Amino acid sequence: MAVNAQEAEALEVKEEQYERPFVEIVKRFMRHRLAMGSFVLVTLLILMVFLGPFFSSFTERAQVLNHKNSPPFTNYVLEDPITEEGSNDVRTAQGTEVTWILGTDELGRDLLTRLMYAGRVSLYIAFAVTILGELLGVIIGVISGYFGGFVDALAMRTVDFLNTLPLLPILLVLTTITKPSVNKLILILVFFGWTGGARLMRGQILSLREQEFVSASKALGASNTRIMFRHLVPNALAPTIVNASLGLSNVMILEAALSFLGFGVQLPNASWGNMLRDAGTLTVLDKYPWRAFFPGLAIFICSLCFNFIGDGLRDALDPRAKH
Amino acid sequence: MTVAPINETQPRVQPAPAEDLLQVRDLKKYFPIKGGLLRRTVADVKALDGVSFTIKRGETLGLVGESGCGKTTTGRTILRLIEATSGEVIYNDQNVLTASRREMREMRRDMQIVFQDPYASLNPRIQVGESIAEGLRIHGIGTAKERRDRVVAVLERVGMNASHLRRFPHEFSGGQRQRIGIARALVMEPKLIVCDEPVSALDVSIQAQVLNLLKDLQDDLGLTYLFIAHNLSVVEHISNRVGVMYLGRMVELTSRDELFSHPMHPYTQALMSAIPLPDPTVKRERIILQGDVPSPVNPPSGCRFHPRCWKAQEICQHEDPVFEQKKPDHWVACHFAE
Repeated sequence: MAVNAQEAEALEVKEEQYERPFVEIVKRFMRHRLAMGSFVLVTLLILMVFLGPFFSSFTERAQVLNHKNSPPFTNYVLEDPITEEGSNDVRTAQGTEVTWILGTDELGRDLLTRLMYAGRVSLYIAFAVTILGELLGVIIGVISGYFGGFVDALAMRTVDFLNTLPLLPILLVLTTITKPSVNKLILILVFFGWTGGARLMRGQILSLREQEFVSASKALGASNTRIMFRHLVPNALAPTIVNASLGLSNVMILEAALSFLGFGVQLPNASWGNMLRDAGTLTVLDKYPWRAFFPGLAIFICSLCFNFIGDGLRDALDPRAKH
Repeated sequence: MTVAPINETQPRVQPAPAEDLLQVRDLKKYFPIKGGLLRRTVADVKALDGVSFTIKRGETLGLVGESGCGKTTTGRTILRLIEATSGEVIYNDQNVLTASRREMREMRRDMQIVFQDPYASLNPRIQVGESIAEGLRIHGIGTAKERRDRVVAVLERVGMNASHLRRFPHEFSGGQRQRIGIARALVMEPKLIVCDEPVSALDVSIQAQVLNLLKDLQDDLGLTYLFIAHNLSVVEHISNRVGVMYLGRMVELTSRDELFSHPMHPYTQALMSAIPLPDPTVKRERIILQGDVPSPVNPPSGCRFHPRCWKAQEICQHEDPVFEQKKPDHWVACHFAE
């Protein structure tokens, strides 16, 4: 086939090699120092929280009653062995010298170990609520935006309605009716938390659904489900990812607040929120400030890092912010 | 098949002759304007108000008219990308507009569309190979390997090659993307392709390439085109017959040569006089239309063109001219066609 020179030139793929979109996003994220630092810090924190307890001499609930409220870096030679929870296996033998790096609480439990167990719960709640909430929000948002009309009106009025409900009094009522548990708390927070994600997604879909590639798919005979989840959602996901990473810190703070007020994670299970509550009296703050300081610091670091990661993702995912 | 009652505005109401691939009869599309507290329909935008034409097997029917006259709406309504308000679209003795979901799915394999904007018509997050294969996948045609072979074959047919399969749309130029868009339509082996201004977004040098590609494909594969454009020279280059639209109506429909040599409708004559001539020494009487296209919400009474027409008489203000055959195979809607 004879092709003239001009045509051949026009058909030549542009010389410049583009990165695959995903690689480019990762690169741009890594250039954002604050976000990258936060990401490393959060990763370390998560590793510590989930792996740390295996290397600890203490268990979550082991008490040394004659050393309540010890300050950080107190050394102590164990008078009794520390046994695993729920069995009699010895974890740390009698006579071992141990250090309470962050001190102990009012029952003589190791604060560091407890902080790690609490972190598991707090992070689990934050991630579970955010992921489930955004998932629900994305699905409702895309259906609402794509079909429009009555479905849209119904979904958006539901969002408005949920947003008018005051969360704290409702949780107060719920905890008196049913026994609070971590999973129930997650469900409740998801129930109230999907609305922002749904609105965000719907807005994106409203503009995307008018694009010609959607018509092209329709002309090929694509089903609504295919158009929504193969074509629309992937193109609308960037703001949702940013929203989710910012949402993580909100959920974390909310969980802390709820646990602080006594509606969240119940003792003897630890969460950063209820550790703060235990330390929330004037006497404790005055005499044993480390008991409030470290859980507070953990919440502070996490929510700050999630915010920075969100900022970094926003910049990395925004195609207009190239270079 | 029952014969529908003869309606004045319809040029032809009878079973489609074998040579006709597509028949459009009295097609209407009104977009409602909602207003007030209760979101009631307060008015309609009459984007299409009784359009009728036929497309013969293997021909190219050009559709021209200025912005907002309903060309694009016509193309999309035929493919049911927009649902029509009323009318009939007969494809192979089957009414497209009333087809069930299953029947429609089958018919979609035969009728494809190429879009105007090559930047918006490809999903930016999907590799072009997969975009092209989507139709095959939806209809469950072939194994993964066979689909790939077909996609490569069709890519080569439009002048690209297998190395482009795994690239993303942003890596291509406008002309290349338009070729990809054509490949996506072609892979279904359709009989009819609606070309919705396929070259208006391209550079002039690329326009010719894409037009010639479309022509070659038609010759090799026996395709039928409904070619929508606002550029008269493009339409003249590619069409066998041409329809001229004005404000949701067809005002003139005839063969290309007849239309360009003897335009009968004043609006067509005005359009023709606006084509630039390559010879600066030729003096030509330019017909300058007064005013703007009226609103399709509230079209003028009688002939819709009368407020801008230099031939308008009293009759034009209250009597809607019939779209009728004034010469063999030359349809015009004008009281004073000549």
